[in-house]
Amino acid sequence: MGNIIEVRDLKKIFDKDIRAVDGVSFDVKEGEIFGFLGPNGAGKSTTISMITTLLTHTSGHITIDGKDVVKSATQVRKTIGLVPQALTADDQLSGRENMQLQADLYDVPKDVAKERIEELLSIVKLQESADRRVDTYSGGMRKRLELAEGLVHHPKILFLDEPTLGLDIQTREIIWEYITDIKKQSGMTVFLTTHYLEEAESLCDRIAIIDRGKIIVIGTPDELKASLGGDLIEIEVHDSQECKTSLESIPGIDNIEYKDGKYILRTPNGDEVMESVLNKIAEERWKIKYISLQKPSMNQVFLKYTGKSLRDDTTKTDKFAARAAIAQNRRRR
Amino acid sequence: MSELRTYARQTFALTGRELKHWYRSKMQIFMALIQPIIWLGLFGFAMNGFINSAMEQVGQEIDYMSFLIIGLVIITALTTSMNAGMSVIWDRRFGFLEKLKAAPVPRGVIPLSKVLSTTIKAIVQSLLILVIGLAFGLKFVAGFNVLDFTILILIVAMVALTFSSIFVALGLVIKNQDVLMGVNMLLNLPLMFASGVLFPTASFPEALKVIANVNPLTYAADAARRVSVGDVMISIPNISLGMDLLLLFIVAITITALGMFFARRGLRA
Repeated sequence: MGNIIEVRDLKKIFDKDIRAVDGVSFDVKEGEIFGFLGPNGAGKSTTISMITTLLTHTSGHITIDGKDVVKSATQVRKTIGLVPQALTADDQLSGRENMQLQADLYDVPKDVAKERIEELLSIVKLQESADRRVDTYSGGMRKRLELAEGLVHHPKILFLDEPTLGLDIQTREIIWEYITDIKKQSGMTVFLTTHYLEEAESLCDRIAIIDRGKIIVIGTPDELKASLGGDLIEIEVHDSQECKTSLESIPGIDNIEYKDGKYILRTPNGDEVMESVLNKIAEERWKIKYISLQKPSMNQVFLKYTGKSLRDDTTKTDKFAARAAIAQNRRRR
Repeated sequence: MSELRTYARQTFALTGRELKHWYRSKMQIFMALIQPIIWLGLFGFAMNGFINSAMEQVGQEIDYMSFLIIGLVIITALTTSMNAGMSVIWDRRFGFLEKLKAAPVPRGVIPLSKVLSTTIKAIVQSLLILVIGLAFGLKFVAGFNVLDFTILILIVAMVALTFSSIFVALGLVIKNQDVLMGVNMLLNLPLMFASGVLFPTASFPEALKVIANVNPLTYAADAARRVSVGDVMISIPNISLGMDLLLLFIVAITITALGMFFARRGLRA
């Protein structure tokens, strides 16, 4: 599969010295779900704005489906669908009217539009409330409407900017399900930004971790986790029996450490090795005090690459992120 | 050709959106109509005596209520246009504008649909004011016919076109509702009072007359009165109705073109 998005050395500098996006390069393959993972203010939204023609970049190159986003902006706009971070549906119109408006703006043939609107409304389970004004919708319903709106013209690439920001966990999972279903059915390419680790991990084929305007690493969730050095198995035995030689005979273990009375086994494939370890334990009749299998989490991945945990990032004030946000908002107002 | 059809569909859809907002908001229509009623009830009755005695001094006689009602038709077109600027700012704040910009919609279509919907609103509201006016004693000139009526509506349309283009462009360029509100206030009073819209300019001091004579609203009010309530009530007697209309037309075309130009720039930034 070819690259449907190509970004080369993309930069966006606000107010002369605020580098919101600072030399970003990546490719998105046709048909994959590609995610930008990073804390607030990392440059995710700024990047998405530039790719979707809403913001002009300071330097660099972006091509979408072979077209330059600056030179062929209208062509690019026809190719893409955008579900912005904010709830932007017109709340004084009904859900169906919003969908119709979107179909008109993208000039979807009228008969096709009619059918497709019904189909999408039923996919996002809004059929029954379709004729109610959007200001009577809950946050989750509005987000589902936004998602449906972004699909009316069957875009080749769907951009989702923080698709589940501010939603409760049930609604979030429903949205994830829609996204995976849509992708499966249509083979559409999906580009999403998120600062939720679970979201990136469960949805994305590939993830780029972005921080302070720079991409730090790109890979599949498994690759990223494997880059931490694989799974850890910890074993503690009674009476400090000598087990090391026996454990070393198990294939697939990279190294064995003995620390604080525990054997720590490092392996790229924890599940298989665990099975062998359990067999060995039965065979040797060791008395086990403690045993555990730890798989690296996205949080550990994040911690390793950015030097900070994504979870506490939201509470800390990041001076850089705050400045970038101020600069961008000033331009928007 | 097929592109033109697409643009027409987009313009139509966006204009329809604006009109839906408007007729669904009963309060908005009510407020737009209650204002002229208050104007007529308070201002009209209060000023009636003053104006008539002032006009006697310059040797003219007018029916101030009829004069004011036609003036209010023009003022309604102006205030409706000012509101269009605010609605652009709300679209930006709620992110709707962002979504429009991400769609393959030519930038000109966005302000154009605002201007068109505003013009339609202004026409409908002016019709309602004429009806209310009848209750306040509006007397049409003898021989008032369909052609005169059509010209009256066209005048309203030209005023709305001119001023909504200005305010939509301002809304897109300024981006901040407080600043735009200030600009509205700043422009509102001189536009209204330094013109022949509310008072006959015959009693104005010379300096104010000069300003009123370059204010397009003076020409709009004059032309509207010529066709509806009669020649005696106009401010600038030495130009013809044809000239009035031509001037209004030229101003409308020029300002709309300029407005679209600046609106597109405001959208790009």
